[in-house]
Amino acid sequence: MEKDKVLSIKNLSITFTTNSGDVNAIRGVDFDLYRGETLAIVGESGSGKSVTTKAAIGILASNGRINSGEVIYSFKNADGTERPINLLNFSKREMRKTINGKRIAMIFQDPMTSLDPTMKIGTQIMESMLCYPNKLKARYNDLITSENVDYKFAKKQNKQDYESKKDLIKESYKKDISEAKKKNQGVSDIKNDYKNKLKEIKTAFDNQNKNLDMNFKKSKSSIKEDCEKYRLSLLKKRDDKIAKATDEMKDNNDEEFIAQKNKEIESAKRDYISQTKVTKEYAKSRALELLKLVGITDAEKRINNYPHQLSGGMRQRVVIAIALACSPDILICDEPTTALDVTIQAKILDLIKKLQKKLGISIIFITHNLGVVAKVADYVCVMYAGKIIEKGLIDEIFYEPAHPYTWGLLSSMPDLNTNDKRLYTIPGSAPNLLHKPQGDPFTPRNKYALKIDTVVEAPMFKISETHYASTWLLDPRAPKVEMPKELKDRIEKMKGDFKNAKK
Amino acid sequence: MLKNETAPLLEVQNLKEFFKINHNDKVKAVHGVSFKIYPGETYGLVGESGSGKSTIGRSIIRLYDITSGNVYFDGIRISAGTRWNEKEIKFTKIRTNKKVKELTSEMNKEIKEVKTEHANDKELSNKYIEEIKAKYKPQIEEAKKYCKEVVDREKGNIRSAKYDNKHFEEAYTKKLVTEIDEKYKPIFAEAKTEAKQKKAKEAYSKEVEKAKKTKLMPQMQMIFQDPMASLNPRKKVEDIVAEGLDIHHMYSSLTERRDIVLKWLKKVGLSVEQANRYPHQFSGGQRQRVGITRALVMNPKLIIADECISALDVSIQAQVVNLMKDIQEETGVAYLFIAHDLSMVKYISDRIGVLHLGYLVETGTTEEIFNNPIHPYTKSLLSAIPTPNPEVEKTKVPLFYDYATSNIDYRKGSEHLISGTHYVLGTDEEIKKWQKK
Repeated sequence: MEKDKVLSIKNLSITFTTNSGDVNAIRGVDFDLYRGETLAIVGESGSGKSVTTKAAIGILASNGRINSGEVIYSFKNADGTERPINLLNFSKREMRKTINGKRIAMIFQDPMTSLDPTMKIGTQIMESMLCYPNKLKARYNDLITSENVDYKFAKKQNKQDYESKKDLIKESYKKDISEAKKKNQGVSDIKNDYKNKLKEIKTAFDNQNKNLDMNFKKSKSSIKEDCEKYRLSLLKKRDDKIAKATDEMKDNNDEEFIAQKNKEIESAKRDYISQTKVTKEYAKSRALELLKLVGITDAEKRINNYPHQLSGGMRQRVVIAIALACSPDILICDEPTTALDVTIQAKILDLIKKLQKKLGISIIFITHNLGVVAKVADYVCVMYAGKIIEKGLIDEIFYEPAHPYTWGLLSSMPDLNTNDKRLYTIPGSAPNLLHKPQGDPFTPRNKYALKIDTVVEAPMFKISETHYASTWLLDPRAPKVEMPKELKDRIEKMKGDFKNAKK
Repeated sequence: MLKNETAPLLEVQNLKEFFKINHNDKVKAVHGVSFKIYPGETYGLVGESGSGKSTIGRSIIRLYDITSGNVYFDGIRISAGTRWNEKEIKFTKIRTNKKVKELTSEMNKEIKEVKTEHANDKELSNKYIEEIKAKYKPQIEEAKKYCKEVVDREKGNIRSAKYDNKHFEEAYTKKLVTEIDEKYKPIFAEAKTEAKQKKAKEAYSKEVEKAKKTKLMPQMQMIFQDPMASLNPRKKVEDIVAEGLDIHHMYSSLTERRDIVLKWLKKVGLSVEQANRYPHQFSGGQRQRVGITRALVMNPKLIIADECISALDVSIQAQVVNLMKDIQEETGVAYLFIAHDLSMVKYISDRIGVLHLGYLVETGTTEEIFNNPIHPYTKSLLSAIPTPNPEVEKTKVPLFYDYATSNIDYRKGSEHLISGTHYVLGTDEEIKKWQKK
């Protein structure tokens, strides 16, 4: 069965400019997110989990620079068409108008800091719905944005092509002239030739640009027409209904009948308004619905509360409700339970899972706790020092881990069933990415490091169709290294636990 | 691990901590908690946010004045609450007044009756009245006397509590000096020659001098939750660590100060050059190490670790927990380890207390709590811990515990011994019901 890709990040690389130099925070990240699935990104703090997703929705800090890569998102238009678009080509304004909150929403770590203390929670939920209340305009915006992004990208590429060609011609011209001067030949021919060549590419560039402009104008006007048509069709529907009702009313004098027809007229008017506008009443009813959806009892009362009147778990529920307000395709949860207690954490994770089943949204879950991952994820990426070092289905990562770092992470999880007195730890701490790491950045902390690890970083080795890991241990020439015995015992025991639970 | 033979390092008796919000309302944060910590052991205090874990820690180290109860540290009462004594005085007075009023009104009634009955014969009525008065007077006096006794006793308690709250350092010095006295008694008795006696006297006076300088409170230190927020960003690590030394004048020269700091920094795994850096130049785990060093440099007997690993990554948490255990083995320091996550507490604690809404609902050794949890709240805490086992996690249904709907009233419960040192708070029926499950 072919799965539907919603978001795929390809070879993303990000650098932060700081006072002490450039920090290569992300060094080539690839992953795919499928519709209705949960992808978990695991890693220590500073491994670039948050930065990756922030770049994807365009809220990177101002000193961040995207060096290369693509963020392909399947953009669903209001008229039902779907097309993949690179989100990195969006401007900030376009991002805000069409993507953020509407198609991709985010939940942050601390619920108290992500809520406004001076606003009632109901208002905060309604805020994003009422931000662009004109539905027709929003529809137009959606359509035009996807067109505009492509147009701008094509134009940019055209200009780049032109410039590179120009540079080539300039170089060859300089070469020719110097050669001619050496041979004491006249340069006028060469000069003329050069000017002609320049003119040629300039006209080609202009033509191309004109073409692009024309196409864009055409598509723009067609979109405008479409939108107008859509509006008129809605209007016509309403008017037809009203006309029909009034016609019928003329012949009949029965009071009850007239009242009924009047009601019909009213409802037709209301329908039109609800199709073209987000009204406050609608937003409020939706806010109530959302509060009930995220499991807040007495939603009618709570909607008028301020954030400080709620407990930590409730606040996080409200934050989730805000994220779901515009029914997004993708929900990014950036450590949503780290600031909460274990019992509340279990409740929130349950809620997120239930919501996913109900609404069919895709979730990117960022966390450093492997226990949480085990609970929610379908697919796991383990990140270290700005790179994904192992990715695979959840069972593959937990029962057949291949990378020494994943081994370490799994071993350092406290186990309630054993009576060990000491916890396993990965020695040392995450590397500073200010300095370009020589070879594999995990080498200094790696017990199983080979000589080649200090020289070259390992490529992604394929273990199965879905399971990849970047470690030289998987190379056929590498010595056979098994995972530590304690971890192996633990995994065997976990498998046994599962079988027992099944029985 | 029962350590009954040694005296407890810290003893908390019936600690209550209420915060006044306004004239009518108060938050009852901690409600009658008692526990003991023995030298060199770790006591884990677990509970959700708002259960009063941090309040207990802060009350013990005297960041708050406690409302009621006693805290003994190293045998010295360092803080005592007087609210209950005041209450006792108030209510005894009210009760006595009421009783006296009743008695007098009864007496007056009888007198009135006598007066109306013998209105003609004044002499007889006077005689009867005298009789009645003689009957009631001792009763009233007894009530008043009892009241006075109680008030005097409670006032004495309050006075001594207030005295102890101020003068515990002096009491500690006294204790140390008497200890030295006892130690030197046989030495003095043995020293026959004058020279020997002189020598012993010198040594004695030296030790007494030292004892007079040692203080009690610096021997209890605290590590805070957020390492970034608890370290001064304008100071170098060396100065942060040495701040306690500066305050208590615990060095004679600057080189000695630096030596002490570097010794402890090395012990927690930081290098010498890192002493000259600022907190922002460290990673989260390293910052927490600095916080631990700051506590350790005072040579404490007890460290209160208030959620000291909650803000760290899981792998760093493991590092810090292991470090704390190593230090405990080396220096014999005791920990009061406050956390909301039972999984890490398991690795470091000898005994655990589970706190909910200010009540200690279950307490016992780590094995007892983990192998045989009784209270539904403990069970819900244990079931909420996510394990790195996807297949089990996906089918597991965590137990949720809601105090409001559970029909449990902590006020009605009393401590029940289950086994060994395992206590559970609840009524008899509740305990039976929980044990059956």
